[in-house]
Amino acid sequence: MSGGLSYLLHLCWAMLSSPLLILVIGTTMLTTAKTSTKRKFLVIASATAVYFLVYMIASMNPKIANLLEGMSSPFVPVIFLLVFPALFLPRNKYYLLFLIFTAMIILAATISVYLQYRAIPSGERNFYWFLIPSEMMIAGTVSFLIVMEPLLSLGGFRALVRLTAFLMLMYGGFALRQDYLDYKEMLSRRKNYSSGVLNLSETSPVMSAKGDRNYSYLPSAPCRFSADGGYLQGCNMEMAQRFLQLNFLKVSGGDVTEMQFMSKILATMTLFLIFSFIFARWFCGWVCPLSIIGDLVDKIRRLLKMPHLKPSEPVKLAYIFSGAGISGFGLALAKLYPHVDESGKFMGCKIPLYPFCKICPGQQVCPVMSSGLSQYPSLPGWEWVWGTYRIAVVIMLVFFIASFALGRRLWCYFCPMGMISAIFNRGGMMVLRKQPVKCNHCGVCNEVCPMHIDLVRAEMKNTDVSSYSCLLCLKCIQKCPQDSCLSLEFTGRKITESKFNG
Amino acid sequence: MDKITGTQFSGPYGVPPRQTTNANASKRIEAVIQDQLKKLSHLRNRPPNIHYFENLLTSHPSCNRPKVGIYCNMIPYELINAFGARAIRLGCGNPAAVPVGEEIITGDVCPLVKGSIGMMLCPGSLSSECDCFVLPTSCDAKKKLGEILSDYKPVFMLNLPAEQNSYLYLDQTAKELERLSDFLGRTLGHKMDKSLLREEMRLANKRSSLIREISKLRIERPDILSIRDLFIIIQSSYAGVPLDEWNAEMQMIHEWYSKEMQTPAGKRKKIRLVLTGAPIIWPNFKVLAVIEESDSVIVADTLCTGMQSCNDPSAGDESSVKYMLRSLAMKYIFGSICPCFISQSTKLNRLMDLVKETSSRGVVNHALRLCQLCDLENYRLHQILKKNNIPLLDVRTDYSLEDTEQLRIRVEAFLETLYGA
Repeated sequence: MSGGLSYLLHLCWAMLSSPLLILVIGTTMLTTAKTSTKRKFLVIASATAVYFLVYMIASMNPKIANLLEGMSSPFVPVIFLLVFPALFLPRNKYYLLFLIFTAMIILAATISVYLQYRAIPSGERNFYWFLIPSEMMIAGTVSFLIVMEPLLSLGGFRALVRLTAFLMLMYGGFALRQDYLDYKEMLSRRKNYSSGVLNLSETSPVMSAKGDRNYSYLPSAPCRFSADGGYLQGCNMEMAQRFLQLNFLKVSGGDVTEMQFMSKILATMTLFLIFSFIFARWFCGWVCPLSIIGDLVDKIRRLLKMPHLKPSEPVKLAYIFSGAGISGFGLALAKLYPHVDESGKFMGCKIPLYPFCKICPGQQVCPVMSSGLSQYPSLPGWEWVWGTYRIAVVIMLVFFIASFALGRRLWCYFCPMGMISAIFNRGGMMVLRKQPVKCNHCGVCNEVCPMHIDLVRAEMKNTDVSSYSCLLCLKCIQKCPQDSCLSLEFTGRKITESKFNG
Repeated sequence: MDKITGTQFSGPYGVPPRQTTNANASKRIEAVIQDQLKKLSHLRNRPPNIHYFENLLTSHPSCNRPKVGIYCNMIPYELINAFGARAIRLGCGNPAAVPVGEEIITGDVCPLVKGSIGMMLCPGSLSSECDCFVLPTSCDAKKKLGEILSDYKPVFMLNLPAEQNSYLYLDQTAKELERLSDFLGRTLGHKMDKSLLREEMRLANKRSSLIREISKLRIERPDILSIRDLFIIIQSSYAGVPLDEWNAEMQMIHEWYSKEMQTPAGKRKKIRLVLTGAPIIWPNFKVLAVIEESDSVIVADTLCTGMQSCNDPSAGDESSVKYMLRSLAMKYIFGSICPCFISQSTKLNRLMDLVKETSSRGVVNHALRLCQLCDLENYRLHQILKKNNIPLLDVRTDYSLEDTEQLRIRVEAFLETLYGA
């Protein structure tokens, strides 16, 4: 009896924390955006009921259940309980009640840190930053942002979100651990840095098949080479490489470990696609730590009062194609990895475990940002793919810094992860809207756009001004001088709109 | 960038400046102003500090800074003020100055240009106190006005692009503003103060937001503040007053307005109209007076001397001087509704939005006689308004006061049709 109950509870949690639930509810909200509230409620309720039913039937099959469970993420309940209400609740005096609710979550998170400290044996009590379970940490952070949001302007709120995300993703590795044991494990791993994750030419896989909850994969590039390994580590490019490295002969042979790896990878990649559908490139504009590092370079240019280059359309296209080409090269090498011989060589040259990551500048700047210049990885030796890596690493780093220094966020045209999320920039749940009749054609939206998009200014007929390269950073909405000309829609509801304040 | 060595008018054919032979010209010009002030004093419900704004327009504030005369709303006066000068808008609306101008140029030119030349011919006028002039090449008349004025004072013609829809022209205009800075630097002997430019841009944005707030309140309760008083308030901000001082007075108007909003509105609803077309400049408030006296009220306008003149702020997120000039170019050129650009879509956009937002019953189009650009724009304006079932009255007139009664009859007849509708 108790076994049945615990199974049911387990199933309920899996259903509620599955991103498929957001997908179901989000798409029904999108399709019923123009119908009456009653009808909308009915449609959403019946769709959710069908989802529960299908989920329960599907999870009878243990393999599918494994895959579905791998998808569940603590982000999903947080999005449902905190983000959706914050976006959709009308901003009147009753909104305060919701704010009190979020304040209570912050309180609960604080208490949980206190309890974790209490659990430490009294002899070893010391300062270990924040010992907090990942669910609490995510809920607490989101609550903090929601409480701060009414106090800040759009620009200030973006700055706060970016700063919070940056601190979490760069320094969360040691500052946010599950508990004391986890902290100790991190310290012990720190001792063998030289042979470990930070070394550019030798990496060990962070992901384990044990189904640990440590790692939540975000649709932007929180680099897994940041020091100490945190909750929110690993970018989806790593997943793509792991996928290509799978030994499918073993999978078809029913190898348990390989099967578990595959279901974990497939689950994470599905999660990535669903997040991309929900948020499109919003993560690029508000969360991505790589872009924050790049924006520091941009900030220096602004302080020096130097002009920025406005890339022409061919340059943008060249960035997109070369980005796709180079990541394709890295992924192709990953496909070769299962075929290396005992000495780690394929066709006489060494192939790294994560061939894409080795070229990505994130692997070089993230360790430096998270634990200082001393962690700058040494250049790879000439033995890696006939020295290609040694040269490519330098070129890519220069390219990275130059792109940010000269053309604002020109680099983001190059990023393969942005390219994939951008598929949902049109047709996803986030839509950038413009009321053409309110527009005075002044062109401020183009002038402040970090991606130099002109569509927002030029569009004078349609109301949808989302475009493939848009990062949804909302700078155009923030700076547009025409009241309610530009706005952001989420599942057909207006979230924020432009407002001029002198 | 190549720097200009001489002025734009450094030919060998300069002529000595002339002055009017009519000794009474200045008196007549003054009489028109006094007459207009007297008419305005009969208005009910004026703001308590309206005389401050009236004084700004009639007796120009003296200052020890050099004065730069500008002849258009599209001249970035923030840039001029950043050179330690005061930009003063000189475009003339005085009917008594028109015949003075006709002494040296033909009568078949728009009254604004004739009046502006007339003011220049009068000794002791505000125009003669200026150190230099900046004019846009917005129409043929303005272009040649600049050449005539170059006999009197140094003149800079700001070359406007004909098109607003390409970044080629934005870059070009930003460069043109650099050239203007170069001219101002040489003529005034000052360097541009970057922090002053930033401050002036901030003040101008503050003015925009104040005017926008008042317009919003006026859409709700247009009976509190007369459109003529509002035009005086807005046009006085171009009379060479420090904007922080003006903003403070404007803030008082805003407080007064919010207080007046508490009083109950009259039961009789006046017909709400939107005004569009050519500029209406102090003291030529003939059209405004006729409309207001005919039981209707102008709730919004797209006039470059009215609320539209302060509507667009400058915006941007970088702080280099080049970038600031660029954002000025965006504000003044890309956001402009002037008919001198090839497309009138920005203006029509604004007009359609205003009609909808103010729930107005009709549109009055002020077509200045002899302004070709306005006349040619009327074609599309008529078609578009007809398509959207918005009644339109064309008021084609010049500065003379002789046709006031005919105008009144036309406006009243138009309003009659609206009552019936």
